[in-house]
Amino acid sequence: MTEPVLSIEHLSVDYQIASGVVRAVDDVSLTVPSGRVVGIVGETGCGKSTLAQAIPRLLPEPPARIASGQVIFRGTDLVRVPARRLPLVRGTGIGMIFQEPLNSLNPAVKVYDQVAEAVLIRQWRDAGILPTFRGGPNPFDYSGRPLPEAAQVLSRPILPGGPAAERARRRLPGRLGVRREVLDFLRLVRIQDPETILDCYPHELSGGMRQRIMIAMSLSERPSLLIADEPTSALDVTIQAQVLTLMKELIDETQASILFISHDFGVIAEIADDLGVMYAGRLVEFGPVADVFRSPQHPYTKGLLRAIPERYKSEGPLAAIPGSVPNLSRLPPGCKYHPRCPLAQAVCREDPPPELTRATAAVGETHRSACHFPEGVAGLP
Amino acid sequence: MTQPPLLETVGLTKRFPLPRTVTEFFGGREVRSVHAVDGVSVAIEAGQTLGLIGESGSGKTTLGWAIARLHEATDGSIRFEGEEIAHLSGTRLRRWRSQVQIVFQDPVGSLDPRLRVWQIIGEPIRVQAELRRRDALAERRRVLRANRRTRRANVRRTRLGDPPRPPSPLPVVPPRLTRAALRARVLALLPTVGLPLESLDQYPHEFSGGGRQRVSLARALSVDPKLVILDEPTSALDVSVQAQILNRLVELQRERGVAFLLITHNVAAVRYVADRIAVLYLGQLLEVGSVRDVLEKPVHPYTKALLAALPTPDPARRRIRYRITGDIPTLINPPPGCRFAPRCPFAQAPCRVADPPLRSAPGLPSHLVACVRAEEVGALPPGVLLQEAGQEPAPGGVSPRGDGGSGAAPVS
Repeated sequence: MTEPVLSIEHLSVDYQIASGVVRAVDDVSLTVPSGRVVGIVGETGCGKSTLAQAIPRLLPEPPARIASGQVIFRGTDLVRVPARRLPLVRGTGIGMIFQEPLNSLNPAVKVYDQVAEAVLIRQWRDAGILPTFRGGPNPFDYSGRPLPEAAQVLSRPILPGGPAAERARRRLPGRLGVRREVLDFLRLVRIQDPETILDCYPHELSGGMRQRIMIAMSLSERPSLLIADEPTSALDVTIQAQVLTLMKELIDETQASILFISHDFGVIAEIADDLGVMYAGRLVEFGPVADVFRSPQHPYTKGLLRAIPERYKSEGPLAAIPGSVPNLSRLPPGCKYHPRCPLAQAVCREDPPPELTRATAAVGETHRSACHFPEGVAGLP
Repeated sequence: MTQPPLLETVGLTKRFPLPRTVTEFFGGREVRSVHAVDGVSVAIEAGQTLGLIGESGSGKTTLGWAIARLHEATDGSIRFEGEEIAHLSGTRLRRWRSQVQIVFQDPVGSLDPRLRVWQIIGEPIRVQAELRRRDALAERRRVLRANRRTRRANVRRTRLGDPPRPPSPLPVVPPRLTRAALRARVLALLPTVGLPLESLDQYPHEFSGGGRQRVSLARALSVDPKLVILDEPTSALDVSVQAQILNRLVELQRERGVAFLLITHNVAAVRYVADRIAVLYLGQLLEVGSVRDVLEKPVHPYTKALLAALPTPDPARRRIRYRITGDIPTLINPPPGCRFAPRCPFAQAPCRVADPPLRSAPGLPSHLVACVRAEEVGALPPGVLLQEAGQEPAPGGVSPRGDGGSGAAPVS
């Protein structure tokens, strides 16, 4: 279980635009260990969504192009997987949840058919009718595992396999079995009366309900990695709390690894184990979530944390970061953050900061940042 | 209170009738309507900020638009400085508009992409200047007519030996606002919202989201209004830029004494900007009070649940939060009673029959709440989860779960 589910090495993604090439993701390296939730936080245009979509190679190529780097998922470098084999990877290995579920669900297909499609494809794969993705060292064995019993789905972890796999092989459960499994997955995401919504179209459901169906669909493929791209940003606070609680419970039940992308520090603090902070395409800080919040090692992280409005106006002004996020086609030289950075010195304007390294001796081995002067961050107001 | 508040709504109601099909029309089916805002009474004091929070569909934007007279209210009254404005129309409405301005939610859609910044910000100034000039010209014409009558009368009066009456002085008509003058006024406005002077001749697309929101803000402030309605001013912005805008808002209020109605779902922004907070749920006002009282000692179960649902940016304080079960119900001809009752762990049978009246919270005369069990909710210690509290067999009985129609309280 020590092998990470996903490890990204020096990944760079370019976009070809009319005026040239912009680099949306710049030399990002990170790992998602098995069973952990890795959060990525950053402002608009920092490349976090590009990163999320580059992993399962969902970006349209062109205009996007993976310029360099490796995305090693269960031992396979996805950057070099031929395009025709990609659907396999996406289906059986990586699940995705997007921000606006209405855009990801087919508006002309009923809920049942959408979930059933995912379930059916997986059953065909299990039965050997469709080919299966076989990565390298696999944290969970997907090649053969028993079909779930209706009652068991809620009471035990759904992912690991078992000895009954052989018996299930070449025996498809049929229409009623599909229906039962669809209902199981809808119950898994805490939909109270799944029968009542099977015949609904996505537009008839509320945002929280749609997002649950998206989660159910991604889980029905039993992915070993779930990429959640701002899954709660379009939802109301109370619904967001429901979805977050659901995701936390599902993490415990399924032991899934999640790459969780958000702009909201509150949401990240709630769910993530590790946290990466992105700015202008680069990962500027990475570490265990508690450490990053307690002692940020990059001035940008510190600025973001300080900018969260958590006070009344009688208690003085908020600590805003001056300026705004730079345009990716007009990035400053040296450290991308230096025009807004209170610690910037001459070297920051010329030389890019070092790669992610353990910042100071005061922090843990896994807490790394990319800054010339990390020791100065603690002294910032 | 001797002086009326700057703006006051009394029982403001806005319903949007739904279209009927031909068969429904001839079948005599009655018009159904969306009850977007239902009998809301709030007051905004001069130079203060009222924060309006609620989830999507709670009617907060509709309320803001109705106050700005962009929606025609179905019922109720809106008083501005003690004067009824819900039925103003024509020139009087246009004149009144210089008092109340609005910053819209969408910083892209609310700025004309083909106008330059000085034209966008200068438009209200130009409109109000033209209005003033038109009023002055009309007044001048009236005085001229009166003077003509006086002259004719004076001929008669001299004939009779009476002393002639002097003509009234003509009113000063402001000159037409020239392009240069308008640009100068806009230029003077730019620094107040933190825009660089070069932006005068730029187009909206050249700005980032924060810059566009500043242009919107400058446009709203251009005619020196007494009240600015801010409809989700920071929801499209990133955290670092949001802090800049919020700081600017508070400074502007201090400098100019303008009142704000801050409409948002972002509790953190409201905490920083507002003096008082009103909590809206499905068109009804549930709780209103000073910002500290509402955020720290909420007495309505919905407010409590809403605040408990906020994710805290602190991994050490992760907790299983109280979840309001169920989704927001429909607003089309909603059932009588408290709108929150179907999801409320404290709901009792009477909650589903009649609207709970807005009354003073226990011990706080200026803190109003619409809940019959506010005392119990307010007395709960902050750490206690609502769901558990609601499940305890409290005196009077509590329905065990919020969802579903289990309306009757368990018999004790």
